[in-house]
Amino acid sequence: MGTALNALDNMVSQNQAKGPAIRSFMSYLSANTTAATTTSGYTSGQRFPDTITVQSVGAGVSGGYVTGCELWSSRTVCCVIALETTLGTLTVSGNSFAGGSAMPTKTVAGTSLTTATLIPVIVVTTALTATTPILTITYTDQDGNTGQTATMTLPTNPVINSAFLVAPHLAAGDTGVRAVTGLSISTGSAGTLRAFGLLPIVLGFVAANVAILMPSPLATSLPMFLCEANEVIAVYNFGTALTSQIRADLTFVAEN
Amino acid sequence: MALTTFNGFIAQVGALKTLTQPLYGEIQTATNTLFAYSAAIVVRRIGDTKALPNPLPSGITGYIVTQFSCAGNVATTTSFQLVRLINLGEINLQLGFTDGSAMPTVTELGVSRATSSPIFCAVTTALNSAPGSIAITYTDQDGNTGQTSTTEALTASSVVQSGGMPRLASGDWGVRDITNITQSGGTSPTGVVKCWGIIPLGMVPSVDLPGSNHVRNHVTDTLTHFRLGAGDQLGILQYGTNSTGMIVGDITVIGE
Repeated sequence: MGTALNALDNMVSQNQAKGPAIRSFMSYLSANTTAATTTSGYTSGQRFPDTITVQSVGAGVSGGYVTGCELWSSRTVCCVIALETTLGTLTVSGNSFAGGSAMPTKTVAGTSLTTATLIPVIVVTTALTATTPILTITYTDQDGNTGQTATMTLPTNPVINSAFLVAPHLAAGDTGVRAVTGLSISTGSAGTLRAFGLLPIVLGFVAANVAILMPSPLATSLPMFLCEANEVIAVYNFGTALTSQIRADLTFVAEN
Repeated sequence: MALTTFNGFIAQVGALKTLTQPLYGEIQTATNTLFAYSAAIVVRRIGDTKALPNPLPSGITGYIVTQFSCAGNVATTTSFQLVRLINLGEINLQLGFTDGSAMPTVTELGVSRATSSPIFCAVTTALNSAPGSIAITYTDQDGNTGQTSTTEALTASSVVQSGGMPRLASGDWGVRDITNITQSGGTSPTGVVKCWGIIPLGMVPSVDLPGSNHVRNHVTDTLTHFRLGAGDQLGILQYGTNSTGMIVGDITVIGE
């Protein structure tokens, strides 16, 4: 345990000593994405193409905790703002897999551990030309068991920025993914898929045009993941496949 | 006295080192979404620009926003956002670019650096029927100079207070400074577009019956307290509507 979350007054004094940070996010999807099916995540998802990279922090500071998030969306959605890890990439032409990173190590509940994302997603980063392709994901599960597989049948020709939840299709008994070691597809001639692992820092159930404030650390239902330099923060919508705009303002307090 | 504890906040209230400013604004003519790209974010200015005292009163070295409330009579569901405004520059479509300020340098998470924000553009002199397009040259969030926004087509005959957020170069999420704005196309273009940097200070919805008030309590809601200084300008953005309407509200700041 560091400094910021030891006491309420520490959050105030950290603001004085180290300065708070704020990051404003604006992005939009100008075209509908491809809706999910029962074989591709059940719940439709979409990833905004813009991301924020956590900038450097000062001496003696290990990162920042998100203590507030104000969120506006043009759609009624479940919005997930998350630390995002690229787990791997599949180029459909040639069925070629390129490995990414494993999920990061984080301190959770006072213990440093290898995280496993509970929200692994497959995102279309270049539109696919493929008719109901079967995607096979080989992964390391939450306990470190290697060679686990998940199979999804994606919709035909899914478009860019579509996101498909992998969790419903993990092997029986698995709840998370530490790493992806393979992606392969049964058919298709073009497009790119990327596997991302998400560690949510904001979970926002937002109605269209109704700004919300996410709970403070006293009331949040999420673990407080420390945001560290060079980590990527990405924004997803779940529950829609329609065009969408979003504004989000994240406030951070420094952790020593 | 620097505010390093929650008791410090209440002590300043007891010492009458607070300042409350009323907010008021009215849109009598429906505005336009300034940029014509598909699914562009709908955002505009509403209300006056408020300036904090300059110089600051004796014994006050800065202010922290502790409360922001707003009520609107706009029929559609919408949201209001209190922001600190930084004039980054403007373009007179006939005469060209006039430079403004850069985003302020602050200490955030232990690092002193120029802050960054999306660009918010607002019409200050109505545009003619063929205003053409503008492109913005800027310094990005990492200090890279000469970055250029998408060349954004301006919506014809946009009225005063119409607004929009231009698209930045791929990979950019914020700007530190605007160094040029150029106009292209159109027919005898006229009008003025002003570009602001924004530091978010609170967002509230207007969702219930017209006139219902919504309050953002910054002391305990976000636990992140941003400092404002002498002469800082504050304004209100409105998201999700171009309809006529008005707002009333107030902000409270505590001195330290």
